[in-house]
Amino acid sequence: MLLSILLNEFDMIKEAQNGSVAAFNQLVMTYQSLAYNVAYRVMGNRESAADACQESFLKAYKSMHQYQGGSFKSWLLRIVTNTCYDQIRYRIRRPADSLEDLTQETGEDDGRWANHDELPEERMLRDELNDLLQQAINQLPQDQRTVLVLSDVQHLSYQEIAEVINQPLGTVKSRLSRARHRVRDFLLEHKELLPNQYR
Amino acid sequence: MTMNPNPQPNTAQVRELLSPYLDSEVTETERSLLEHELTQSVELRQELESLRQTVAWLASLPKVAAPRPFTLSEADVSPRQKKGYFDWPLWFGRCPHSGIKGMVTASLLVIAVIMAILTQPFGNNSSEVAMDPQSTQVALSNQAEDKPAPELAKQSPKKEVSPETKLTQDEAIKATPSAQPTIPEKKELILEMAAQPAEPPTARGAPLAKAPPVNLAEPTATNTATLTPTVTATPQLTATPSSSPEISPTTSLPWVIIGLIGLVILVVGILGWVKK
Repeated sequence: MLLSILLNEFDMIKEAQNGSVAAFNQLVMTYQSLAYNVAYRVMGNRESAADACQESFLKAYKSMHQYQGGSFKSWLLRIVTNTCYDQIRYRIRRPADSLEDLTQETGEDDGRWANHDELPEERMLRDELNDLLQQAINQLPQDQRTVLVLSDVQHLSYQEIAEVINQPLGTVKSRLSRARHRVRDFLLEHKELLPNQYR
Repeated sequence: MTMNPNPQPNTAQVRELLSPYLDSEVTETERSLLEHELTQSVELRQELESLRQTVAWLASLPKVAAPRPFTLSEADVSPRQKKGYFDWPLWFGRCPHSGIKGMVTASLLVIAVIMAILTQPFGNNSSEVAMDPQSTQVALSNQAEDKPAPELAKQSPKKEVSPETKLTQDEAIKATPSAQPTIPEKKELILEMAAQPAEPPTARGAPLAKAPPVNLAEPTATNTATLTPTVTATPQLTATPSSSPEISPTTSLPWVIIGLIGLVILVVGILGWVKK
C-alpha cells in the first residue's frame, strides 16, 4: 500500500516536473493540510498561514525542476517554512501592513477539527491551553520554532526535520531541546492558565 | 505532576539529553548515563516529567483545517502578462533569451542611428552659416553696402528686419540699379513686413526670404532679366534650417528620436538585468 502510494507520488512528481498542473495539484491535495498546519503553527495566524501556503505551492510548482529526489514532503516543507519566515520578516519591516493580522484574535474557534465528545467546559479549558501553547510557540526564536512545530506538533522524525531545515541531526537535537525547555518555562510562568491539576 | 521551575540537574550536558531521551534519539551510552543520573536526582526526574507533559500538550494541539484548497489553476502558473517596466519579456516576447535578444536589438538600433547621424551630409558653408543666425546677420551686413535699407529700418524700430530679407533687397537693388525701388516703396515694404505678427528669429527668415524678391522684381518687366543675381543669391537665403532638405537638424530629427528610444530601451533593459 505504502509502496503504491510512493510510486504514485513519484509519477505525479515526474508529471509535475514536466509541467502538468493536474499532477501537481494531486501533490497539493496530499500535502496541503500538513503544509497549512505547519504554516499556521509557525505564523500563529490563519490568514497569514493561508497566504504563505498558497505562495509556497506556487513557488514549489515553479521550482519543480530543482527537485532532485529525496523526500518530497521535506522539500515542500522547507519551501513552506522559508516562505513563512519571509512573510514574518516582511511584516516586521512593514508593521502597518499587518495591523489587521495583529488585531486578529488568536482563538481557534473556527477551522479546528473539533472533538464533539468534549463537554463545553472541557472545550473551553482546552481552548485556553491551546492558546497558551500557541503563545509559547510564538515566543520562540525562529530556528527553534520550526524544529518544535515539525517535531512535536507534526511528528516528523529527526531525520526529516534535518532535511527540512538542511542541518545535521545534532543541530536538530539541540534546537529541539532548547525549544522544549523554553516552552515548558513559558507555561510555568503562566501557571494560572494551566489545567488545575498542573498548577 | 509538579513542575519545578528551577531544577538543578547534575550537568547541562545531562539536561540536554532529556529531550532526545523522550524521543529515543540517544545512544546507548547516553541512555545509560542519563538513566543513572535520573535514579540519583529527583529534580532531574521532575524536569523530565515536565518536559514529557509539555511534549504531550504540544502533540495534542488540534489539526486546523485549511480555509480553502491551495490547488493551482492554469492561470496561476502561466507567465504573468503584466510585468515590471524593467522586464525584457514585456518588450521582446517571452522566450528565455528575450533579454539578450532585446539588448542586442537595442544596441544595433543605437549604433545604426549613430552611424546614420555621423554619415549625414553636413552641407556647405551656407548651411553652417544658416545654422547660426547671428553669424548670418554679420556676414550679410558686411555684404550689404546699400545705405537706404538701414535707414528705412530705423523708421520701424519695433520690427527688426530679417537679415535674409535685407540681403534679398540689397542684392536685387545692386543687380538692377534701374529697378531700385523708391524710398516710399521701401517704406511700404517695411511697413508691410512690420504688420506681420512677430515671430521667433529662426522662424522668421524663411517666409520673409521668399517674399521680397517677388515684390522687388514685379515693378518692371526688364527687371526679370536683370534679377539673375537675385536667383544666385537665393541658395544662401534659403539655406535656413526649415527650408533645405540637406540641413541635418530637420533631417536627423527622426533619427535622433529613434536613437533616443533605442537608448532608453537599452538603459531600461540593463536596469532590469541589474535588478534581477
